[in-house]
Formats: sequence, structure tokens, C-alpha cells
Amino acid sequence: MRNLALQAVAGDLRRKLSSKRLDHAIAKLPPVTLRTPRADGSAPVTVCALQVKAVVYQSVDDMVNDIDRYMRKASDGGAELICFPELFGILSLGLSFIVRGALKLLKRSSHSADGRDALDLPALLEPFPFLYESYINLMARFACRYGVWLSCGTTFAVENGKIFNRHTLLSPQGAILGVGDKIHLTVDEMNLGITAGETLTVVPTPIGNIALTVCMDATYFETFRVAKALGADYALVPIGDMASFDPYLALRGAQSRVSETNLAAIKPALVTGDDFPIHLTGKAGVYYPIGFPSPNLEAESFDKPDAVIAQLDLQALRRNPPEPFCRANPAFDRIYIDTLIKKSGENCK
Amino acid sequence: MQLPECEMEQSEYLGRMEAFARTLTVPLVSAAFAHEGGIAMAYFSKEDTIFQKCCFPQAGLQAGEDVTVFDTPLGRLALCSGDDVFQPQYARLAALRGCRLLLCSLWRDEPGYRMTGAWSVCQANCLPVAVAGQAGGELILPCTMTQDLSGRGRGSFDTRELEAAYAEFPVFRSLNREFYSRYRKELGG
Repeated sequence: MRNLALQAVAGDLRRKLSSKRLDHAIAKLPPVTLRTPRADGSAPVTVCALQVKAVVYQSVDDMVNDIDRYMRKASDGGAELICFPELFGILSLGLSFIVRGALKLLKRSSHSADGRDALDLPALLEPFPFLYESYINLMARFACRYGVWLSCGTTFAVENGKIFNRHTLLSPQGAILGVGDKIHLTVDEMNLGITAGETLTVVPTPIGNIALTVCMDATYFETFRVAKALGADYALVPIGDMASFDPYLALRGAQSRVSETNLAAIKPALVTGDDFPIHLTGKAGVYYPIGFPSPNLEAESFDKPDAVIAQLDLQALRRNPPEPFCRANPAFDRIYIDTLIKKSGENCK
Repeated sequence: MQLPECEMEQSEYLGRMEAFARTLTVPLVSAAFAHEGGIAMAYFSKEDTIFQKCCFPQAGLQAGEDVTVFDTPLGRLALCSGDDVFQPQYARLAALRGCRLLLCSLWRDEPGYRMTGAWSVCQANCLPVAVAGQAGGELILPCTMTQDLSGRGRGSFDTRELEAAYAEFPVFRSLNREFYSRYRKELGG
């Protein structure tokens, strides 16, 4: 019975997310001025970390209009790189009335809707291998429409029975420039059966060398240290944070990592209201190393839609003195990495 | 475990600290001091003297090569001097070896640096950090061990509270061995 329901949902979504339906919905949008993408990073780059309110979309038109509102706000602010948050891509699942019904039941349920329930996500999403491609096809249309680099945030990618929480960066022509699977999973994600990524992608672009990370990856300085070693100028850190917002708890992530590694970070956030069965908070922001002349910028609230727009001066970032951070001691570092690898396998503490 | 032999500086300061610790039976931790072309700090108790060289000093100074985590009646401790607190791998290695309190002597204590150094490594490792610096001394704890979630403002803690804080934010459960192995070189190995 469950498999029949899942197949029905898959069929419904496949139709709704078909190229023809998406083209039709986008054709109804008002015209926009196409930006000409720049050729190099000599001038400061305008970036946008979106704070997106999660909505259970009733139709493809609703979803397309909502995305376009965020894109337009960012583009009107001059953004050349627009960044969507973690898990934004799975919102398209709500286009199915069966999923909408299940979400209502989930919200009314006495169980906590925080992912700790025993869901076999790989089995549940097995009929949806098209989900990732459909989402990227949709976002590629927006990248082309506005002529911007576009971080799609993340969605679930289903491959060979495994689920990855996948971050994708698109060019202004809608091509995939790079993907990054979440490397450090939360305990809830592990319990849901999501598979951790093992590689970190740094994409060279005219707007800088961009590391693709996801949410919890910013809790671990190792992520940012590898990104820096691979040549990154800044990291994209889309989040979907289930913790209640607190400025100190939020400081445990990207805001701390940028100083340790002399990178900047762009953090878009997915947020929810009371009408959503899962509680997610912000804040979206753009963060710089301590002492850098540009101030950190954040969304005004932790739960409302917003667009945090900032200027990234790549030349200044690259010249920024890393002191007192980023010192190396090869002998110490060898001991540290050997111990880290050994202990990682022991599920220490 | 073989602890490094302590080569005492023939200085009044360290001599007095050792004498105080032995006489008063209260463990004492020195500030950082010059030692053999580098920087070091020391822990003195009635039972032990532990010596820790700064591993990430400024250029031109001799560096230590490891962090010693040692057992005491207060738990497993480690020392952290100078700018070692700004190299996150230092506290990480101490934490991975079971350190339960990092004792930091800071000399760089301008506004903002305590948060980006000591506070940050505390949260990243669920590791309490006791700090002494120009801006004063304090105990920095994992966020959830303080009512305002700042991690600051308390003078003591209980190991059961620390376990509860770790349960709320189990940072070591999410370590990714395959990732670190793949990027061993980039991580300094």
C-alpha cells in the first residue's frame, strides 16, 4: 500500500516538474533585465544570502512565483551570486496532494516532527531519483533568466540506494559548475539513513573560488581548512537549522570558522512559521574574518524572509593577513591528523 | 604515559610557583614564559610538574611538537599558551585525547579575540577552557551549560553537566573519517 502511494506521488510529481510544465510557468513571469555576467573578480562581487520561508506549495505556479520573488529581490540589489538554503529543493515534494496530506498529519501528530522518528528515508525516496534533476532543471531556468551564479542550496539526491544532501552551484548559463554532498551529518540525518559525502568541492569562477559546504560542515574547522588549502576564497554554507535561534548557538558555525581560516562565508537559511511541521530558524548572513574591514551582515529576524546582500572584495580577502590564525607546525599537524583519523573511526567520546 | 621531563628555568617566578604549589597543596598554572628559544607554560601541583611548550609560536621561535594531556584529581587537563588557542587543531588534539579542561594563558586579548579563540575551540570540542589574560580570567563552557547560552559567567562546572552538554551537541559523533583521510595532506598530514 505504501509503495503504491509512493509510486502515485512520484508519477504526480514527475508530471508537475516536467520541462514543459516548468517552461509554461516561467513564461508567465514578468520580464526581467538580464545581467551580463562579469569576466573576472577584480571588482568586488555582490552576493546574496537569502533567508527563505518554507512554504508548502499548492501549485507549480505558486512555487515558481515564490522563487522568482526571491531572485528579483536579490537581483534588484545587484547580486551576481544568489544563494538558496539547505533543503529548499525538497519543498517541491509538497506539490503532491498526498504529501501535503501527510504533512498535515505529521503536524497534528503527537510525535515530535524533528526527524528522530524511525523513517527509512532511502526506501521512502527510492521512487524519486528524478527529484534532484527536476529541481536543478528548475533552478537552471532562473540562473539563465537573471544571468547570475546560483547556489541552489540543497536537495536530496538519490543514487544507488543512497541519499545525499546535495549542494549545487550553477553558472549564469544554467550549467552545473559543482556539487557538494554534506560531509558532516547530524545525528538525525544519520538516523534517517542519509549518506555523508567524502569530498569537498571548490569551484573556480570569475567571482572567486567557491567552496560548497552544507550547514553542519561549518561546525568543523577541518571543512574550512581543507577549503582554504584547495584555494577557496569563500564558502557557501546553506543551512536548515532545527535549533531554536540563539545568537550564541549560531556562533558555533560559520562565524567562528571564517577567522580560523581567513575565508569569508555566505550563509543562506531556510526558516519556517507555525504552519510548518518542522521548526527551522535563521539567521542568514555574510561573515568575514575578525579584523577585516567589512562588517558581518545578517538578516534582521530569524524567521522572516530576507535577502542579505554584501560586497565581497576578493582582492582584499586574499591580502587579508591571517594572523594570529593559520599557522602550521608540520610535526604537530601530522600527529593531529593521525589522531583525528583514528578517533573518527572509534566514535569517540 | 611518559611525561616530558621538566627543565626548570632558574627563575624566581617558577621557583616560587613550585614552592607555593607544594606548600599550599593547590595546583598552580604559570603564565607563558621564555624557554629555550621558544615559549612554554607549566602546571605545578604537590604531585606533578608538567611542562608544555607553545606549538605555534610566532616566526623565529622554537616550537613544541605535541600537546600533553595529563591526569590530575581534577580530571584530564592540558595547557595552552600564546597563540596556540588560535590554531583549532591544538584544542582538537587535546580533546581527542580526553582532555576535559584546557588551561589557557593568553597574551593576545583584544576585543573579539577571546570569542574567536578560546570560546570557539570550547564549542567546537565541547571542552571547557579556563582563560587568563589581560582582559581578566574566566571559565568558558559549552553554550548549554549557562543559562543565557553564552558559555560565560560561571566559575565552576560538574562533569555530569558536561556530559549533558555533549549529549545536546555531540560534536564527535559527526566526524567523517573518509573525508579526513582523503584530505590528509590539506589538513597538514
